[in-house]
Amino acid sequence: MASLVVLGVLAFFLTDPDVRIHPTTGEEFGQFDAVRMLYLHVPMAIGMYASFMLCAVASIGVLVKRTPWWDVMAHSTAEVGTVLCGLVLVTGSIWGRPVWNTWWEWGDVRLMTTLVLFLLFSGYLALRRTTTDPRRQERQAAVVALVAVLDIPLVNRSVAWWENRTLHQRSTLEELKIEDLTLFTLMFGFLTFGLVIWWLTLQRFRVGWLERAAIDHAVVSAIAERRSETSADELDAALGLTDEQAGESS
Amino acid sequence: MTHLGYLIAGWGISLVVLGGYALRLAQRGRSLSALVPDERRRWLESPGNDRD
Repeated sequence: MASLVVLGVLAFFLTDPDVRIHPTTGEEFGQFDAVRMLYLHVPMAIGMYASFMLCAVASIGVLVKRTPWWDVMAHSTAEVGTVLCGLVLVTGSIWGRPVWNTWWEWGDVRLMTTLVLFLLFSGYLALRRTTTDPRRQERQAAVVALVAVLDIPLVNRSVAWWENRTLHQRSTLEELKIEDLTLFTLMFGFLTFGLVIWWLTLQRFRVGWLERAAIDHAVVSAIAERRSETSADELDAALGLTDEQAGESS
Repeated sequence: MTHLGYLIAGWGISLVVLGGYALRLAQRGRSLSALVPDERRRWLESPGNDRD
């Protein structure tokens, strides 16, 4: 929480807006204060990539090891990644309005590949809610996740591979366009959102683990109860006791 | 400050969504904990839970 407050102070009050002077006309241009979305949008996008890549690793674990740990990890990282992906789309759209003069562009490869990624993992989460055989569902979901992550290189490299088909700028970090306090604030944003995403993933994992444990515990309790009822009835029948006699003897 | 409305919307939506999600996870975790015996709440060790 303190880290988020510090990030807010750095992003809103200590860093400079993006104002450049045109070399020939002398007019001011740039993103102005809209550039402050950088410290939010980019760390969430990197966190989204990390979550989905972890989901892919965990999905391989599901297919190879077939243990609940890997499955809960895959489900948790997919859910956290999908939340982040939705926020990346929303914040990107909000950032795009003042900078590109549009909320959304259907022909933009960066936007569309990100939307496809969001829809693929929404499908993954929908599949996890279907009531089929759990073991089969785990394996199907793992395959879906492994197919879905193939979109990540397309999302990430789209600005370089299809430069003329996107409004999105190329990677700020790769081209080292920022420095000093702006770079520090972005790095601090990575640290802050990294901690937030780590905490969310841990909590989501805990919930997934407890859901499984609660179901297992309920089943074990029900079986034990049924077993005890059955054995008492069978005992009464074997002794030839009526219900009244059995009640008196107990 | 220019574009203040966009900045408030972007940062506000993100923080509210992430905060709400965190709260929901914490509440769900707490309510599920009550249904599970102590020895089944640990997730770092899972003796006997492997399906192999």
